[in-house]
Amino acid sequence: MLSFFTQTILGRTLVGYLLMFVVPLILPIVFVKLVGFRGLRHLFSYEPKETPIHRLDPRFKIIYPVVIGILSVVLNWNYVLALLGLTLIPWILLRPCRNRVRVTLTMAFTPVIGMIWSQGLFYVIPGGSHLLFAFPWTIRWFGTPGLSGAGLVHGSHEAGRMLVPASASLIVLLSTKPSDIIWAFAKFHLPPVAGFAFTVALRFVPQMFERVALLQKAMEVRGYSLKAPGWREPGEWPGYLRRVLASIPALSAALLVGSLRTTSVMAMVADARAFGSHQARTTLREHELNDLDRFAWGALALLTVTVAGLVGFHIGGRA
Amino acid sequence: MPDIHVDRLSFSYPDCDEPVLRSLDFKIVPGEFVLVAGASGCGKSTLALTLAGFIPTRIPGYLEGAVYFGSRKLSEMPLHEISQRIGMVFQNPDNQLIELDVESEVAFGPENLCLAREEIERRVAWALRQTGMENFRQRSIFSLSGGQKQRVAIAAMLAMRPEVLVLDEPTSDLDPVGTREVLQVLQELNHREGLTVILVEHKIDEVIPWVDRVLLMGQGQIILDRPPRGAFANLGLWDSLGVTVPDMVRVARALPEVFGDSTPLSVEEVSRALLGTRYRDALIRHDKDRYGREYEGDSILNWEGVHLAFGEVRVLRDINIDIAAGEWAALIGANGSGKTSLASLVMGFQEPSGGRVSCLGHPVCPGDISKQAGTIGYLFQSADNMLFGSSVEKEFEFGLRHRRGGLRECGHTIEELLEIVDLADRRQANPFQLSHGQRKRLALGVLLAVSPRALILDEPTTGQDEGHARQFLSFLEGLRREFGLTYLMITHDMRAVAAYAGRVLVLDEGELRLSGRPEVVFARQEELARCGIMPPAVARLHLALMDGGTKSVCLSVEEFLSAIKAKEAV
Repeated sequence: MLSFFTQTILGRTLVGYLLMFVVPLILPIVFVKLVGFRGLRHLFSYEPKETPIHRLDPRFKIIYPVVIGILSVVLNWNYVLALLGLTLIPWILLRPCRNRVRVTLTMAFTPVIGMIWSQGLFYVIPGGSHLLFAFPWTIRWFGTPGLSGAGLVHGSHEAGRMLVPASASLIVLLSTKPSDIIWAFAKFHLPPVAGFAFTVALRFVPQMFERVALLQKAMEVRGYSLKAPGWREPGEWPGYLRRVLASIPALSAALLVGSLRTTSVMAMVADARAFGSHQARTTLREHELNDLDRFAWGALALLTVTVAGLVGFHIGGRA
Repeated sequence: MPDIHVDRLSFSYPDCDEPVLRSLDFKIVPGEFVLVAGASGCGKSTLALTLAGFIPTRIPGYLEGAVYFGSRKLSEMPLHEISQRIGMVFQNPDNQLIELDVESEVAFGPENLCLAREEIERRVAWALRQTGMENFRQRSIFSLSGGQKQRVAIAAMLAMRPEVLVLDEPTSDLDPVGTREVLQVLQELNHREGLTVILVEHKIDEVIPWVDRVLLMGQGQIILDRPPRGAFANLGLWDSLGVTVPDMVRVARALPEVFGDSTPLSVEEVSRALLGTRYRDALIRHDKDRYGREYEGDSILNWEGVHLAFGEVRVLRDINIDIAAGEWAALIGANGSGKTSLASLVMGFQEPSGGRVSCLGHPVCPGDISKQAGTIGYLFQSADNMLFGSSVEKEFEFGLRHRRGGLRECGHTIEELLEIVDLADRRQANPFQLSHGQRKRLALGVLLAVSPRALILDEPTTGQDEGHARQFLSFLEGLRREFGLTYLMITHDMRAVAAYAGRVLVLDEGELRLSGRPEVVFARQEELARCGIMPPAVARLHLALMDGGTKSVCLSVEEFLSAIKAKEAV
């Protein structure tokens, strides 16, 4: 059996097609099944809790993903992996709810798998020794000689580099109240409107996803089937995909109109609350620096200095 | 405290030929509680936005005349200055709350004014106290009910310390309890703090006892400007505009020998006046035979031992309901009582945690909504969410072309559907250029394409004036009779329930508390109060006259009058 798939042209062609299409076909299904539009609200919304991460200085939480993002760029892969491990510590302290973990992991690993897969197929280096599976001539039209081991490794490096800032950024969204974000922006002497835009996005992104789900439901109530057919109904799939594609412009237009209406009311509310009437703002709550903040700032500074040292001494820098 | 002077104010939107406001001229003195009433589209909201300074500063258009706050023209004042004098509260609380917790929300305005921290603290505490929300200070906005959210929105405006509060239909999305909460807050602010309140509202029955003055608008003009007791001298005027006349006013007008020229505005006033009269005696002597027939048709929708839970949160518990073919059942209850969840199960929106939901004897397949749509239609509260086409005709084509089974499963042609929903002359019109009622009918039309057996009507009268609401309900009743449809109506509109429903199902915290004919269910006032429901005013009057001792109540003014007058003759 094994020899059929590795030795015969038909078997190798089948394996080749499987390698090419299984990932791009599975990823959207994984996304829909595990997340869906409604699930996205778990990714971009504040989760009220009493954890050390929630109590941290909001300024630290703004700076943290920026610094981590920069460090992930300058370090080589081995150290990026270590950095990724470090960015998981706040997640452990945060203990997000199960739904959020599911959505976050799916959203993080969907592009990771995609990236590893695409690099595995298209990261071409001279010579054929790196190929784990060489495509037969029947599949050469695809433009790649086969699945490359070196490509997979390179893809996982790049994916890891991408995961580091994503992991650090999501911490801010999950653990920082909008009022704290505005406060932090003000302390950095950034325009209050930048903090406000961030706040409004945080407040309304979950609503937008809810609205997408509502519009989808409205379409289905009108008999527009958005239910994916089963694997045993291959004949239904073209029609399903056609319906999904046809629904996108209609959904987008309805979503845009609804969002513009909401935004218009929101802008009037901001005006009615005198937003932007003064150059500066005062705040009811002022974050006072505590031992936890000092520890966090210290740890970030130490990490930055360590990375600078590693790069300076040509130990952990990128080649 | 300065007054508001509207001086020959006219306004038209840039894309509209006809002015929305036409030469309005009136004054509002400090401390007044003014109700602005009128049919949908008469210019009430535009007037509210002008009084709050958003027109013409934020919403462009052609403005003539002026609005003065004291001696200053509003259009020449910066918005942040206006907002410290005149606050505005909008219809939907979800769209006007910026922050994620109550304290931050109320503090947002004073923070923008760059006030000292102590002053912000004082204002937040005061605003929360005024709205009865001080115990919710640290709560997340998402955990609040609709009424509580609207009270937070009011508190957030109060923290700006305005002298005038303008509210544009602040209770339209709220259940009776939420409505009462908000109106009580407004009344107290007006009485205790002397705040001027300008309230645009359709729920005139609930508001009228508390206002000092009524402005009735029609086609952009003030048609009537009177104190509430003088506002209903000409009922024909109100009826011609399709605006609600309080039931108690109608009762009083029909009994001049009891009420003379006086105009009672509350149930208490009318019942006090009728106590000791022969009318009350007649009602007591002949308190019987008001029971209607129970429906006995085949079951169409069925919930059998249904439970629904999301994690720890139990939404529905042991629901057993059977809805017969041809029935018009109303599902009522406070916000969050589980009404929409219950209806959504039969549409396949979600799967019950336990029990069985069936439609025409077949189990409902959760998630397969489009399949279920062949048997049941679901009319959303906001019909706008159901419209995707660029013209009325394309709206029908869109649904028919892409639906499961395609055109062959459609029970009607587009022409027939246009006739059914009375939109044949608007075939090429953009759906968003249609009136609210027309859009509702269009959404209904696309649902009727496959000749469903039942329709779920989610708040079909919300945001509409009395005339348009009754028009739409009567249209639905015509369809029901013509096509033998079954309706399950989710609503907070008790007048609509009284007028059209054959059965009322009362949900409270996910449990079915009461089920029966409206005249029987509305007689159980105390149980309804525990469920956050207030029966229609006529039913309450009937109960008040009977000292609560009756098993069935009158549901309309006409029924009440005919009951007391017919009995009187016996």
